[in-house]
Formats: sequence, C-alpha cells, structure tokens
Amino acid sequence: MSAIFPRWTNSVPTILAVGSLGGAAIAAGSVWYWFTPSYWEVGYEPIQPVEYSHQTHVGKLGMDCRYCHTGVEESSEANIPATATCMNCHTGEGDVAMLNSDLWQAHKIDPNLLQVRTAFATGEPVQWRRVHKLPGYVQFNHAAHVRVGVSCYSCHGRVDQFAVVRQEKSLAMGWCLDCHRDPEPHLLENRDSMRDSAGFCEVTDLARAAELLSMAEQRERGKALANERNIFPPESCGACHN
Amino acid sequence: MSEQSVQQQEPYGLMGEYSDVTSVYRAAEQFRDAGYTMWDVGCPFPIHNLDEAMGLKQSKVAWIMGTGAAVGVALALFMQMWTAGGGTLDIGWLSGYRVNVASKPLLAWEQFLPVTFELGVLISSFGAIFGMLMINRLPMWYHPLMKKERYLRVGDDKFFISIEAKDPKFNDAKTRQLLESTGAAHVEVVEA
Amino acid sequence: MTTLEPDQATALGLTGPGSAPADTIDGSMVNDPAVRPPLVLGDRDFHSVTETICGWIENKTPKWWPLAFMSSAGVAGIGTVMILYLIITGVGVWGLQNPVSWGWAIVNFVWWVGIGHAGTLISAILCLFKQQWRTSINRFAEAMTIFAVICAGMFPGIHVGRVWMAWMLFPIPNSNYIWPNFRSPLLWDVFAVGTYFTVSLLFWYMGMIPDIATLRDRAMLRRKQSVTFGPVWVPHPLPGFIKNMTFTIPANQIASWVYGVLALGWRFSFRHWNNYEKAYILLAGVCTPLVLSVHSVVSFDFAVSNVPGWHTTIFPPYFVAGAIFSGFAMVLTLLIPARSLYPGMKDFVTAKTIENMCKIITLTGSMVGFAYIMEFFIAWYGANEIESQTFMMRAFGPYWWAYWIMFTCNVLTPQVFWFRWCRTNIAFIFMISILVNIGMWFERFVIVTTLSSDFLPGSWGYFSPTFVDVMTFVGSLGIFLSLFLLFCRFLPMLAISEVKNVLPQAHAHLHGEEH
Repeated sequence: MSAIFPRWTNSVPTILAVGSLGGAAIAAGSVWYWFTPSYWEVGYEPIQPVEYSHQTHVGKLGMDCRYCHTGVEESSEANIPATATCMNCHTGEGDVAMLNSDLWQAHKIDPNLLQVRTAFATGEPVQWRRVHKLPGYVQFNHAAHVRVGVSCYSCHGRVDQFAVVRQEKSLAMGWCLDCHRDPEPHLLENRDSMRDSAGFCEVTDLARAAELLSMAEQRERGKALANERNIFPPESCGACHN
Repeated sequence: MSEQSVQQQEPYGLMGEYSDVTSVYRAAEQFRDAGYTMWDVGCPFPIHNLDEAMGLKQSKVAWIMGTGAAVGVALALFMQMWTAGGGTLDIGWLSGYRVNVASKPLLAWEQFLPVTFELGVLISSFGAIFGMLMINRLPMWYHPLMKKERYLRVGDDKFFISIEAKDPKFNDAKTRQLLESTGAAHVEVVEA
Repeated sequence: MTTLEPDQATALGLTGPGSAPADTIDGSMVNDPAVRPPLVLGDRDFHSVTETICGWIENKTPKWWPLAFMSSAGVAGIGTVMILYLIITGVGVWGLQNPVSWGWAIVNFVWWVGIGHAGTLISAILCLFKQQWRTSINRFAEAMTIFAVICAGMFPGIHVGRVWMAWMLFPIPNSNYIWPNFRSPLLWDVFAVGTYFTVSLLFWYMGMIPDIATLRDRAMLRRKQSVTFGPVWVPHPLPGFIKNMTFTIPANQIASWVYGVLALGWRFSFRHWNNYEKAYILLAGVCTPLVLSVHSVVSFDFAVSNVPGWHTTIFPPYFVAGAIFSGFAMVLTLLIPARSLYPGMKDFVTAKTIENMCKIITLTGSMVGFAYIMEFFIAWYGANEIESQTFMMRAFGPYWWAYWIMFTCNVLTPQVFWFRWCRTNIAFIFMISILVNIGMWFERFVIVTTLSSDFLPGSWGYFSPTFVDVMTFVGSLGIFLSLFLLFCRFLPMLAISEVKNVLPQAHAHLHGEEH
C-alpha cells in the first residue's frame, strides 16, 4: 500500500513555521512602514490653480508669513488670503518701489496673475487646494500654538524654500503627542505682541527658527521658556477632540 | 521507487499485531525488560498504565506549559504597565501612555489582573498543545508504519508493537521471535 | 481504570441486548449506588464503536440533512444580509437609543457566550472530576461551544459600527499612539472571550486529532475502489476553450487527503499518547478557571459600572451559573434530535447521560433562582432607594412581562426535574430545554433594559427592537445551526478514542499483579 503523503511532506511543517514567521515579519514590517500617515501624507503636493511661489515671496523677497496668513495669531485658522491681499501689489497699475521695471512688466502679462486679477474683478475666489487637512473631529488652534512660541517651521517646514507648497509632517496624532509630551525642543522666544516688533520674530522667520531649533542649547532655552511662560501642553482627549 | 532499491535499503523495523489490551500490555512489559529503547506501541486509545509497562518517563509537556504561563503573565503585565501604566516603565523611548481615564490611577494593578490571567491561560495552553505536538514531532505526514495496510486498523480495534531496526538491541531473528512469543500475529517487516 | 472492575460483571450483564430490567429504561438507569451503570450499551466492541461513529460520516448522507442545511443556511443568509445592511447604513438601523444604548446586540452576545460555556465545562471540569459519562457528549458540546462563541463574537464586532476599525480592540502599535484602555471591563471581555475561543478551538481540535486519524485510515483502506465523475467542463487551450472531461480518482481520495492533513500524521503511537494525555489533563486544569473567568468577566461589563441593578457583587457567580444552565440546555436541544436521527447514538448517549444533564440543569437553575431572589433581598436590605426602585421596576415596571417570562422559564420550569418521570421522558426534556433557552435570553434582556429607567426620569424610554434587530438574531441562529450541521456531517460527533477507553475491555486484566 502506498503512503498517503510522500516523504518530502515531512519537511512541510518546518517550511511552514519558518515561512509563517517570515511572512508575519514581512506583513508587520509592511504595515509599520506603509500603513502610516508619515508614508502616505508627507509629500502631498497638489497642483494649485495659480503657480504661487513661497520661495519667491518669502525666501527671496523676505515677506513675513503673517502678511498673507493674517488670522494665525488670533484665530484657530491661519487662513488663505483673500484675492485682495494679492492685489495690494499685483494690480498691474500702480507702482511698487521695490521692483525694477523689467520684472514689473513680466508681472503685468503673467497668465497666473491674470487669473488673480480676473478673480478680483469678478469676485469669484481662486480655488486654492488645501494642503494640510485634519479630520473633522480634531480641533487645532493656530493662535494657541503660535502665541506660545511654536514656530511655523515646526509643523510646516521650510516653506520659504518651496516653489510649490507640500506637506512636510505627518500630522498623525502620535506626531502631535510627541510635542505635547515634550514641547521643550520646539519652543521659541515670542514677544507679547509680534506685530509690534520691529524685525521678524523667531516664530515666523523660518530660516532663523530652523537654525535656533537645531542648536545644542535649545532644550535648556525651551525649558526656561516653558517655565517662564507656564507652558504645559494638555494630553487629555478633550484637548483636541471635543 | 523500484523493487531493487527497496530491498537494498535497511528496513524501518518489525511490527506485530495484537488483538487485545491485555496481550499488548504483557508484551510491552517484556519488551521493556528485554532492554529495547526504540520501540513503540500503537493503540486506538491511551491504554491505562501502559507508560509503566513500557517504562516511559513522565511527559515533559508540563514544563513547556509552565514556561508558557510565565511568559503569558510577564507579557501581559509588561504590555499593560507600558501602555496604560504611565511612567511605570519609563526607559527612554519606551515611555508609557499617560492618559488619564476617569481619574483612575495609572498603575492600577488590580484592574490589570483579568487580562493577566487570560493571557497566562492563553499562552500556557499554546504551550500545552504546541509543546505536545513538538515533543511528538508532529505534524509528520509521512511515516513508514502508515504504509502498512495492516497498521491502518490501529485506529479501529488492533494493537501493534513496532521495533525500529536502529535499536541497538534489534536483531531480526531474535526480535521476531520475541514478538511471536508474546502472542503477536502477523509479524511483518516495515520497509523504510 | 481499575476502579471499574468490581462491578464490571454487573455492567456487562446490563449491556446485553434485551437484558435491561424494565425500570432501568434503556439499561443505563441503575439507581443502586453500588452498581456502576454501563456507559455504553449494546454489547459493543471497539470495532463496532468505530463503525457506528465513523458510519455517520462515511455512509450516504441522510435525507433530512440537505434539507436541514439548506434551510438553516438560508436563515444564515438573511442574517448576513442584515449585517451587511447594518454595516452599509449604520447602527441606527437597530432600535438602539438613549437611554438603552446597548440593545439586542449585547443581549445576544451574552446569551451566546453563556451557551458557549457548556462545552469546555463538560470537557474540562467534568474531566477533572472523572465523570466518565461526559465522553459521549464532550465532542458534541465542544463543537457547540465553538459555534456559539463565533455567534457571540459577531455582535460586539458589528455593534462598533465602523467594523473596519475593529482592530482597535487589540493593542496594536499605531501612529495615533492610542492603546486600548486596560482599566475597562470591555477590554477584559475582548481578552477573556478571545482566549476562551482560541483555547476551546485548540482543545476541540486536539481532542479530534486521533479520531480524524481513524477517519483517514478508513478512507485509505477504501481507496482501492475508484470513482468516476464527469463529464465536467474544463478550460482548455485548444479552440473551444472548454472541453468535457471525465475523471477517475481512487475512492475517498479527497477525504483521505483532507483528513490526512488535519490528522497531522497521528499514528496512535503510545509515546505520543503519553504526552497527549498529559497535555489533555493539564489543559483541562487551566480551562476550568478559564470557563469560570469568562462569564465573570462578561458580568463585569455590567457590574463594574455604577448603574443601579448592575453594580452588584453577585453578578459573577450568578452569570457563571446561568451560563452553565443555558449551555446544558442548548446541548440537550441539539443532542435530543441528533440522538434519534443518527442510528446507534442512543447506545452512547444513554438515558443516564441525559438524566445527569437534567440534574445539572436543576442545580444551576436553582442557583440562578437564588440569585434573582437575593438581588431583591439586597435591594431591600441595602436600604438604597434607587436600587430598590430599580428592582421594583424590573418586576412590575414596563418590562414586567420579560421579567416574569425569565423567572418562570429559568427558576420554576427546571424544578420539574426533581421527578424521575420528567428526567427520563425525552420529549418532555426537549421541551424544557427550549424553555430554558428562552428564559435565559430574557434574563439578558431584563438586565440590559435596566437602562431604560436611568438616573434622570426625564430621559426614561422604552426599547423596541426593529426588524433588523430581530432578523440579525434569527440569522445568528441560522449561522449556528449551519455550522453545527456541517460538523455533524464531516467530523466525528463522538470522541471515538475516549468512548473506547471507557469500555470494559479497554482495561488489561492483570490478575494477581500489583501495578
């Protein structure tokens, strides 16, 4: 009588055991790497209707974030500027002392600006695409963070170097908690009213912030700031989910 | 496999069939006393006290199971103290999950007991079942004995004693004679 | 077991065909405590035990089986549609509302988990107590346990609404840094029920390995014949792409492969049996506290909260007694029809076995009744107005009908088993077992609807199930029965090796020798 299964089947349990261990390791590793916001959220870079370059405006011309994102100190939203804000400079009619005439001419016929001017004329807003999105059940307040001295840089990266805005950080809940549990490496000097300050403050000057936060004494400085200003971020569920 | 190569190979051993519990029990005692080590009894159910008749030692399953229980309890305590116990296990990046739930204490060991018990039971049961299979070297889907048509009655109502040729005491004639003298019917060679 | 020997002759005398004295029903109802009643009737040897039990699987499928399977699978299908509808639409399709935010889902969950207690109780606790009559019903009860726990686990799974988030029940590292709350009884439940299911499944499977090996060997022995099937359509590379082909394979080829893989190469070696028996008894040892812990933990879901009527220390023992009670009732509900449908089963599941189960039902039913009364006593004796009001509402409030159904079915009905006639009349026992199942469902309902009158009279409400609620519950019965019918058709319903082990001829006759 022949055997029910051939002799080699005796090696199947070993193969199965090793294979399933390996398979489990691969599955766990894949989920660990790919199934995370730091994989699928970071680097989101939508094509905007207008090719607005932060690199030119902030990096080259040295504008402050708050010139356009006006609400950042007072409200939960940093806000997308109204078309009127663009038109402060880009009317195509007036004179802007800072710009030489050649550049000015280029701006006058730029098709991107045509869109902005059309929007301004018709009152139809430019359809900007939102880059940083949080779920509806999360309440994030820009003012609360900016006012205690968390730099724009900490969450948005070197926007002054971006030709096109992209998402730099994962915005995962764990990423929020990293800072809420240990805020010291992220705290910077912030005067009571940033508007009154003569120069650019540490919080909105992205290059300066990046430099300061990478310095060795940042932790001590942050600790001193936290104690001085009584900064103890909440970790309870209700702080962000309410 | 050709006929020739079967004959060239050393056989697995000998087997003899017994028809009732008492005779296989008595035969097992004789094999034990004759000093065989690599032999086995096949029986449709675990015959009471046959371990003594065969001279078997106490099973090691209990040790594996005990280890499993200790691992389960340790794992459960670590998991709970780390994820819910706050700063209990604050070792660098292994910091606890400090969320206040209904003002219950972070290190609420009383509330960790049910899960600790359940995981202890779970891992010790794994130890018992998988440990038993491991000691028995199962799954083993191929075995020379299972090629013998006669042996397929072992799960029904027949009893067998099989002696491996590898046994130092094995001697084709003498072993066969011992099988026959203890009342085995149908003594057969088991091909490897 | 040598303890059997003194009355072996008596037992053998009673098992002979036609030799049963009239008052012993089928020969097993021996009331003389000095006589050990026979566990297996019909003068059976090992071979006839194998033939009978394997025959239920190997012989032609009985005519009632496809009919029963089709109808229960149809009901299961309705349940599945209801579950899909719930997942697509949301939990609002159920009658859940404030204040009864745990409706039928938790009622069904607790009911099914409770039913799932009989199997491991029979295989573990009765094994430790050396109750050998359990050998004929343990496999059956364990299978029932597995399927009941599957039905139970389904309900909390779909109650969460977003079923794809169910992984959050387990402590899995995630980028939200969220871990389950280990201080919550709901999470203890996940671990208790999860452990119980896993261990019961493994215990059941381990017990079946030798019996599956018997089925494998028998299938191998019958492979000499061959069967031809076809013509069947087979995809084919040549023009036409489909070709009619006829296959010839050895008989029982597929059966021997499937049973062969599942038997893990078990070859009935005593060296294996030696470890196997040790593992079995040790598992019985850990499963005993496990069985008791599972329903205790389920009761913590209620008892750890501070809701009047739930926050009582009597809950764990009362739930465990209720679980055993309902589990035995469900085993009887399934066993009694099976016993009459499968030829020869009555020789193994004797009248004495059924009678023993009836006694356990009376015992646990009385324990449950004691708990019901004690709850009222403590509500009065504790002099807590809210507590006593809650209990008055239970018995005389809007759900008075549910309370009295529960009380009648669970406490009064099982008392009939004090009479011998009731314990031995199979049809009567079947009826009582159904009543107990109903009563136990209402017990869970009564407990859950305690929420309907909470602390604020302004938010009091009355819970009414929707059509989806009802059909999901009925569907779970269909899933349970379908799985059970598959088990009856393809797996050994009785533990063959264990039954053989309790036959008188399983013991070596070593006269004049100590061992």
